[in-house]
Amino acid sequence: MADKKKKNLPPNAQEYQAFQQQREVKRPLLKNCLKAFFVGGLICLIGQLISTFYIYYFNFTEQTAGNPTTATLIFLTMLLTGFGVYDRIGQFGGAGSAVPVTGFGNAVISAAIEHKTEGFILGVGGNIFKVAGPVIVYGVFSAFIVALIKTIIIEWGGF
Amino acid sequence: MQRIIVIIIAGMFFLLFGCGTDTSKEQQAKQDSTIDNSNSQIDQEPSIKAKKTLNEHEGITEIRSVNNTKTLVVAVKVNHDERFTLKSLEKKMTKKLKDEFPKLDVEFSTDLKIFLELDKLKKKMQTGSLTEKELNKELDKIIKLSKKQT
Repeated sequence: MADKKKKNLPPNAQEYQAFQQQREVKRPLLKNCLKAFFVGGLICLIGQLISTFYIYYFNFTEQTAGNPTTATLIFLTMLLTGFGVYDRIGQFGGAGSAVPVTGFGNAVISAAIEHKTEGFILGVGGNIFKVAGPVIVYGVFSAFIVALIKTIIIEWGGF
Repeated sequence: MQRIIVIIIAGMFFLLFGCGTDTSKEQQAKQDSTIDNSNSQIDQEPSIKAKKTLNEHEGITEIRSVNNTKTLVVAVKVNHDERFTLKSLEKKMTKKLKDEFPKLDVEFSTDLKIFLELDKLKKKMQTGSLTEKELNKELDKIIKLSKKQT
């Protein structure tokens, strides 16, 4: 909570907050960061292996292998989420499992599973992009802004 | 806490050992790439010359090049730290090769797939089973592949 708001609180509430802060279990920040780093790194390593597999055995270049790799990773995550394995990975790795594209697949399928009881149309269909929707909206929007800036710089900046 | 310190120290060791590059192997690979014993009917002189030119650049570790009468296709593997400046390296090397071979269409690539395909083609040429027509067809295919966008 911001310090300004804290000063406006009655004294016993302030006292309680100080007491609560003392008793609160501290989060192992460094440990969590390391876990996220290694889990995220591991997922990226798997992605790199899939990408190399596509380059060696199919007609994909380094440029074009990105799309099938992403699709494969999302598909695998969807299966793992359905089997309940990805939840455990997420519990352990935190942001490390949410930031790579696998987090996107997990967000889609977990929302679908959660709302299945409400029916397939209004439940699954209406809620499947509840979490992943903002990712798509802001992803597309920020890509548009970046492309706009790049176009302006290149066209008018003379680079 | 102690466990975390152990993990950090172990991680640092990995990083430090990872940074030491084995230069002798690199040199060997480079020298191998300059030897050319293809039994092809098509003159591979420009390819050999291109290899010699590119060998002077330190960041390039392996080179494969094939040419026909119209085009010269070169693919290279680069040091991992050079990958940060891949675009500028590509630009520089393409210009260098174009200046050296003004009569040929030069295709320079750092893509692994193009490298693999050229390697395959080279091996086919070494066995001597490739006619000029087949070589032209294969090269066209590789050039098309290198120009594919996502």
